[in-house]
Amino acid sequence: MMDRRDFIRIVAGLGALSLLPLSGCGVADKNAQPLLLSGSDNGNRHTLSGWRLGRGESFRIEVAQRVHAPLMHPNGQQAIFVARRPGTSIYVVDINEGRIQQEVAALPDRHFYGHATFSNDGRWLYVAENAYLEQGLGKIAVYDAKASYQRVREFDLQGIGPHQLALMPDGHTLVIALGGIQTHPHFSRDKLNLDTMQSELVFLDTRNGMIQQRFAAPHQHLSLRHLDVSAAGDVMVGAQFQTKANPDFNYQGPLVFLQRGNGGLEALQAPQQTWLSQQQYIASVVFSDDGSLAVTTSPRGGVVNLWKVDDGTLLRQFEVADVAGAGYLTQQASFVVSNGLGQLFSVGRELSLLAESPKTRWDNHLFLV
Amino acid sequence: MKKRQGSVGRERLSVTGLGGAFLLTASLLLSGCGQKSDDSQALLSQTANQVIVPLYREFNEQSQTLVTQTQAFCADSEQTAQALANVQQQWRETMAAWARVQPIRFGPVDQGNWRWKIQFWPDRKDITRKKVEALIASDDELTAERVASASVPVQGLVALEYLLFDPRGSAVEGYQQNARRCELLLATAERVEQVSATVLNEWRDDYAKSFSSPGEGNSRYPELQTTLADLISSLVVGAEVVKLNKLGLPMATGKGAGYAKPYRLEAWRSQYSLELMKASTETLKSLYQAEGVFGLADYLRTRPEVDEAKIAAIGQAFDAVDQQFATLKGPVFTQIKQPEYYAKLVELHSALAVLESSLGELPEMLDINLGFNSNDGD
Repeated sequence: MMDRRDFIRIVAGLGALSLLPLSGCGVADKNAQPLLLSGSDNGNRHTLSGWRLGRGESFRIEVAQRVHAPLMHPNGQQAIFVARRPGTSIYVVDINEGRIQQEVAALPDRHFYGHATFSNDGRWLYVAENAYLEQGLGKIAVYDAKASYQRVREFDLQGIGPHQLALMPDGHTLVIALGGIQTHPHFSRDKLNLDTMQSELVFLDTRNGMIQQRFAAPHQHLSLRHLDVSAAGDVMVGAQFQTKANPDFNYQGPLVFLQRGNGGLEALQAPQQTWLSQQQYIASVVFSDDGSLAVTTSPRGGVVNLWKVDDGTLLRQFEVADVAGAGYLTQQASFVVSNGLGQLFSVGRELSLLAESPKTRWDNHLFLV
Repeated sequence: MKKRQGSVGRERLSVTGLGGAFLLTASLLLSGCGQKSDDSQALLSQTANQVIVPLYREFNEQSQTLVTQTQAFCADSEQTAQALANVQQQWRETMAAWARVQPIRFGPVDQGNWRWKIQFWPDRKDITRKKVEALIASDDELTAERVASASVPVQGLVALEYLLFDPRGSAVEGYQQNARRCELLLATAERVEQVSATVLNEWRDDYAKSFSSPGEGNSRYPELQTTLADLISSLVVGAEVVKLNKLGLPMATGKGAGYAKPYRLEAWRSQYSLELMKASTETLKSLYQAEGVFGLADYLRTRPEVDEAKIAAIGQAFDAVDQQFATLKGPVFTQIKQPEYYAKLVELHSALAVLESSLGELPEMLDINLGFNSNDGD
């Protein structure tokens, strides 16, 4: 058990992280830790953004489609930005040169959900897709990074609305948050099946495409969307309650769940008041490197929650308006969060402002190597 | 209070903005003064100090009086029906004062998560009654501290309403027979007063200043647009709460009088829901344009890009809502299922919908985004 003093020791050392230069565009230092973000300005121009910690922003590239979640190729040289629902582009960026190397297009009857993950060797990119002409069946498509991201195969999830996905420590199992919500690009972002939706956490074996396990969300109108996997294989998943499915019902229950070993989904422990403060909506979920701590963000509640993983209890809650993106900074043993006001904060023992970018709204997720 | 989640305009919506590159406005050019943000400065500081802080002061003062009245009622060995009626009337005043701050969806109430503790509503399963009765039946000492540590439904104005108005809980005989009812009544009233004092002090000592001075170094409000977004989303969400939560859901809109749900009304026990709708709407009006204050409407008129017709439409929408309120007499709770009365509620609902949609134009009029990630839905 970790007591408060241990916690403080773990997250101490924030002073080492200096305020990042506001307007960036400094000389890229290949040794500085990269941070990837995507954003929009007030005129709805969408951008991909790369930072080097302590050195500010190293590139910002305008793109046609709004992206959702960035990620880094394991080689550390290439960034991937996936367009959000119902977008159809994946932008592949050389982070040293700050330019788009390639734009990967979705199949004609598919769109992306904004999330993807790499195999450990960096060869395969697994991408969540919507087969919207097939009643919105969710697929995980496999793209070959060595062959200019050619689409080589796909796995069927036997369910609707795959969102965030991550590789388990065994290196071959993918865990996928299946949001359960059917959308079709002809109807914009409208949710088409709120009456019948069923969200699940799905484990898929990438060696044979077999589904190993599925865990239903604890409430029919809870949509599991975002997750992270710890080094020990714990899966933490954040949910969004679909109020419109049931406007009379006032869900006051848990929004974050842990799945460990062969066990089912277990709610994290927090007072009802804490769940209420999340406004039924979790954006990002991220573990610390050793998996002992985790952070969840809620833009609607304007709060960041810091969790102790072993007993699933809440350590702290911080207020950050419109907060969404979250990552973990290894060297400083600190979390980093971003928000729709163009701000970056470190979250540890305390909340501290790292950088502000004018006229920028940081989008849902960030990525820290 | 609780509003429906998941639609446009959730509370504490925030935005980024134009990086402080404000346009010089006509009035500034006329006055020739060097400060480019004069209009916005006037808007924010007058709205905070002349509209919002006085409303919180009023809520605190009414809460104080409620404590005093309750003390008098509980100290009186006879505990007369008249003394109870006085406390009931003071509860109405306090509740109305709360309904006037309710639409302000930023500041200490939301930062400190006080909203639910002040008013646990909706309470579909009447958890309030069960929890209040359980606490009375317990052996715990009934103090404001005990109430503060109790579960949320026991705290606040809805628990007080139960104790004061529910026929099962509020009969004078009940108070005479069990002293613990009065102890809890007083402890809860004291707790409400403490909370109202806390939020008032935070507004006065800290938040009003931060709200009035957006800009670099103000991490809460780094840009003017962020502050305006809070103000505007309070108007939009506030109108939606009156239309939907206070009126539409109890009406079972679209289904007709026979389907109306009187127990979904706010303050159904005290049959005070109509007055509370009016009180919240008054605040929306004050946030938009209070008398003698340089308000949002005045600010809009200084903006050359804003269409005068849209400003006029908002004013007309407020007037139309007032006219509909004036047609309604007597409690909604007892009349909502009567077709004739229901028809008037339909008119009120329509007027509120027009108000909500005209206020919904404000973000575009001022080029403001209400909550980038908050409204994303992914």
